[in-house]
Amino acid sequence: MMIKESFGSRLFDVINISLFLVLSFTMFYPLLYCLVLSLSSEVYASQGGFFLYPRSFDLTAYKAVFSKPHLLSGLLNSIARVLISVPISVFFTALCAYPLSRKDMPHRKPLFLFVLFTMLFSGGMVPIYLLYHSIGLLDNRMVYLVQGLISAFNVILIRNYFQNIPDSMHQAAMIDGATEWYIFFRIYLPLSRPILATVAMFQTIFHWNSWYDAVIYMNSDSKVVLQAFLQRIVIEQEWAMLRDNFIGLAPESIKAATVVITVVPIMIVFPFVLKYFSKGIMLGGIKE
Amino acid sequence: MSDLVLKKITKVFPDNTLAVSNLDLEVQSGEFMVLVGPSGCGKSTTLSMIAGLEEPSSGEIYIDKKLINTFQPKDRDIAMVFQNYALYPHMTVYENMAFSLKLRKWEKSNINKRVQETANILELDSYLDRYPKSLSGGQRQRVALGRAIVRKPKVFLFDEPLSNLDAKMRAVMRVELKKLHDRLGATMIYVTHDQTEAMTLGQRICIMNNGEIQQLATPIEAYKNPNNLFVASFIGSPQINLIDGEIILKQDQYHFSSDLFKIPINKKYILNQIDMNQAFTIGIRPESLKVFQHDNEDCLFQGNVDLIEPMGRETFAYIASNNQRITAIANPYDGLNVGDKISLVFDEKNYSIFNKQSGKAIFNSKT
Repeated sequence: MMIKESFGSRLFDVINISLFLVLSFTMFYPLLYCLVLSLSSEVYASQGGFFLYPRSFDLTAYKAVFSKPHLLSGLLNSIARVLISVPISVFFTALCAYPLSRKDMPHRKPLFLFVLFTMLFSGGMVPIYLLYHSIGLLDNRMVYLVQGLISAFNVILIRNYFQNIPDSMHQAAMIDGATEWYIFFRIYLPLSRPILATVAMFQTIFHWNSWYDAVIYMNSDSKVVLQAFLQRIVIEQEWAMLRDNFIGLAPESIKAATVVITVVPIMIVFPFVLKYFSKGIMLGGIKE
Repeated sequence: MSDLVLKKITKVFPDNTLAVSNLDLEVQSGEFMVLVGPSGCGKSTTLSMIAGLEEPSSGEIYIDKKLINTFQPKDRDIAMVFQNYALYPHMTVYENMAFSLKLRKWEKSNINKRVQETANILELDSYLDRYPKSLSGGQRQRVALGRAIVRKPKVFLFDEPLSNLDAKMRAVMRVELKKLHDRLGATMIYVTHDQTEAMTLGQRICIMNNGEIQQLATPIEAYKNPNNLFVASFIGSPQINLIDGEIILKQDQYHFSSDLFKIPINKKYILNQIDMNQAFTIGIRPESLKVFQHDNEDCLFQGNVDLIEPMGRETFAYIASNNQRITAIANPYDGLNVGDKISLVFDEKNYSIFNKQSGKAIFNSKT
């Protein structure tokens, strides 16, 4: 027999579902808007307004973006940046988080405060520029790797996750004869896949979206990442409009097309990473 | 088989908590020693120091007469079973059991042979390819046992390994552990707060409180001749009856006198000098009080049944008398009811008297 729900309970469900539908739409619509705008003709795009589907379907904005020189090299640079920097960054972040998660680590608190300090204060652009200059990182792709290699925020995330792995697991491994390196690689890292996937996702988005470092530290066009390149196209288009050198494309269309080009790879990758966000990896190992 | 000696072990944590104080303990080769006590008594800290997971603030630990204070846990040749199993959830049962052997760089064929042997002992043969999450609590704890016995260490350490199991499974695992000890003949140190486990498993039990040993004895000895009030009240279920009173000397005969009764004390069992000005407590086990539903000429005192707990084989009767609550064990077929007036007859051979202030036993009728 079904338990009958009260009117109040049903009303709550209706309001709850309605609110979440509205919230979902407010999040989904900007993405849809960009896609629709990028596929609409420049007349409608420059008019603006509320779009749910492309008005006068037009691929000119994409053609304009893809016809630019160095687009392919920018794309390859971005892909290489993500593929190389993200695993290295996740590894070093976890490596930094591991000792900070151990209660028996000497001077753990001051060291943790030291890490935390870097989250709140940075050296500033000029000192960092001078530092990179002095160690030969200017116009060098290595700068992409160094940028955001270890983020204090991610260190805290992984450290907190490591702290949730029971001490007895570490102690059992110690008694079994494992070294700290072995415990880190064979116990902690495999058990922390959900948080490592989360940090990898954060780092992927960070590296994929970064354009400012390429603008500041790179001189050669061949080393510029896709985002810096797209940002340059948008600015060029706005300048062209100001100089009356308009080539029949609204800056809004170009902007929307660049946003779509930027976002689509992340949206393709995300579902594959999603499975690692699963909980319950500790299931069975310990009695909670 | 190896012996283990702890000499003057003290552990003070950085926040100045004294966990273990000046502890001396000798565990003989092949002995099953149980460390038992309430939470925070220092038993798990002692075990951690033996394992090398905690460093003693002072004192020495010897295994086979070799000082091991500075040895890493892996070099002490010990194995430990944890309360929460601490199995590696991303490894199969086989991989969990083979883990320590792999780290010791054993040959694959030898690892396989030893794991199969151990799985056979623990009846885990058909679970070797499974992950811990697909096993029941009892099976997981058997895997944890397997991981410990697979490399035949000198000393086994158990940190409340049965606490997370249900009552039925605990009883089953207790029997299995005892059989395992008989089969391996290994030195085992077992930590628990459950006195039933301590009594049933231990060849000797070490009762601890506030970081100190209260009594080191066989389970029966600790039950019958408790050293002090703490041991008397900690060991035994239902708990011992403790009744305050005084000792009086009349015509060269000592008597224990309380609000409920007065009994003569046999001089030859008096352990320590009696200071007549002090307060004393008599401890009487519930089974030493016989319940009669009619007047009895040997009646020690009378009271009314306050509460009844039928256990099947016996019935615990809680009796209110003169503002005191006394526990006795009654025959379940006597048809005892709450409110019944009953007479209690005392088995004078089974009681202890303690100095109330120091808690020390001054008299054990069973000595």
